[in-house]
Amino acid sequence: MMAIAKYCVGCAFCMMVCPEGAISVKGSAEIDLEICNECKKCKTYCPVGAIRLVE
Amino acid sequence: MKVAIIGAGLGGLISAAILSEKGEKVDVYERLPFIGGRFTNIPYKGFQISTGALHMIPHGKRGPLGQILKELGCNVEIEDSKPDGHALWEGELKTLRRKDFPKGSRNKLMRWYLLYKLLRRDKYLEKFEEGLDEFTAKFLRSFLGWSLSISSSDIKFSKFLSILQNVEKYGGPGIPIGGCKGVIESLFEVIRSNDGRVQKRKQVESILTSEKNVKGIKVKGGNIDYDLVISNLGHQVTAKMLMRGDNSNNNKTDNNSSKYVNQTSTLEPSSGVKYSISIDEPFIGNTGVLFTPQLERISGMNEVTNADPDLAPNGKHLLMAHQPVLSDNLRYEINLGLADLKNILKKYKYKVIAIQSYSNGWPVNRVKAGNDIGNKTPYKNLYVVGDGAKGDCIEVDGIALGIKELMRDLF
Repeated sequence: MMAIAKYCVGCAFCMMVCPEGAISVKGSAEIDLEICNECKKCKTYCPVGAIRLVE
Repeated sequence: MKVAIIGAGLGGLISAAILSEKGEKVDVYERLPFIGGRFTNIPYKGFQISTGALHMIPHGKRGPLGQILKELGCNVEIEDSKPDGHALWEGELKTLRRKDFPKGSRNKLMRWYLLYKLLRRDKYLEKFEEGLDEFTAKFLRSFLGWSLSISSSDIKFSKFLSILQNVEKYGGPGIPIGGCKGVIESLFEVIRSNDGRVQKRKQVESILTSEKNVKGIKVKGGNIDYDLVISNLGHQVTAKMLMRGDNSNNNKTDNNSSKYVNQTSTLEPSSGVKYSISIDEPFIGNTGVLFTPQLERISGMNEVTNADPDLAPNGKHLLMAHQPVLSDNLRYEINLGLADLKNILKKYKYKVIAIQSYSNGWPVNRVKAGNDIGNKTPYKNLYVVGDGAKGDCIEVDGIALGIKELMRDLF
């Protein structure tokens, strides 16, 4: 499961690269876990390391 | 000379292009899977959304960045804005020549200019703002918000004066064809054609030092020696990388790198929010800036598809709006910005497709405009470039000016 840490700045790179359209951003990111397929593309694009994979 | 450049943002890539063109052996390291940092595009819903900057170069072709790109023979076209800009004031478009501002405020600028030149009197700009007529005061606020993402309490008059003088010297903005990425790709092509290397997803872990020199860098897999290291990460992150690489047995609180950490700890970044808006009919209709001094937060807008229609899908325009962040509550700031958009675009069919905010470790500028401390570090073959070490010019032109000054130092 993907999670957003508190140091997300809201640059929305994750939203734009998500192939499933699972992320929305307004000040900080929110991942719709129903849609997320854990491809981790958001994690590689995040400039502040705010996206983590948690079990 | 073997050169390592840490960070493939605009500052890193300009430096790499210039040095590789001079025949130096250049390696660029980028931790992210793309180059360009906060000055490139990500395609989204058919639009070319900028990762940071507003697909605009503050001083167009004639400014420091435009000049460097030309000198390097970069294959990118910049369309200078026509007109430079307008202010939307009481429903009318006002031009922004000197004589468009009331005489009292013009005279005040002249008085402050003379007091600074003759007596070196320098105060924060908020003191200057006091007592200006309403149009000039509000325009000043929107200019600072749009161009620098700061308010008048953040900048000294003398620094603002340099920025104003550069506006007069170089003129207004321009839009790069292909957006920010058009510039980045043209720089990458120069680096590539000179056999420079750009590695993505390659993080530099620390900078290695001996006494007052930098020896090289540490990446996963080992240490690599370099004659010159240029950091595109700002002074603060650079200082921390030095701390990690500092193997001296001296007292850790008294060595070069920890002094550098202390010296740079007070530098503050600027925060802002950018809105990318899909609109069916053009709202601005030209390539200039529309300043919006009467809105609560949004300080200005541009409509980049009037220069390059390919930045949006067929039949759509890409309108971009920017606001500084003036309180601690980002959600509240964004709600004010969205209300501004609703108000100004009420007669138009539009959709906000991306809201992007920038702060802290991924800010508008790593150092607020007017507070930069230059390119140098305590190590003589280590320099900082980028938005953490700008010259006295707006945004990416400040980055370019900073690098020009560095190159004069180096050669």
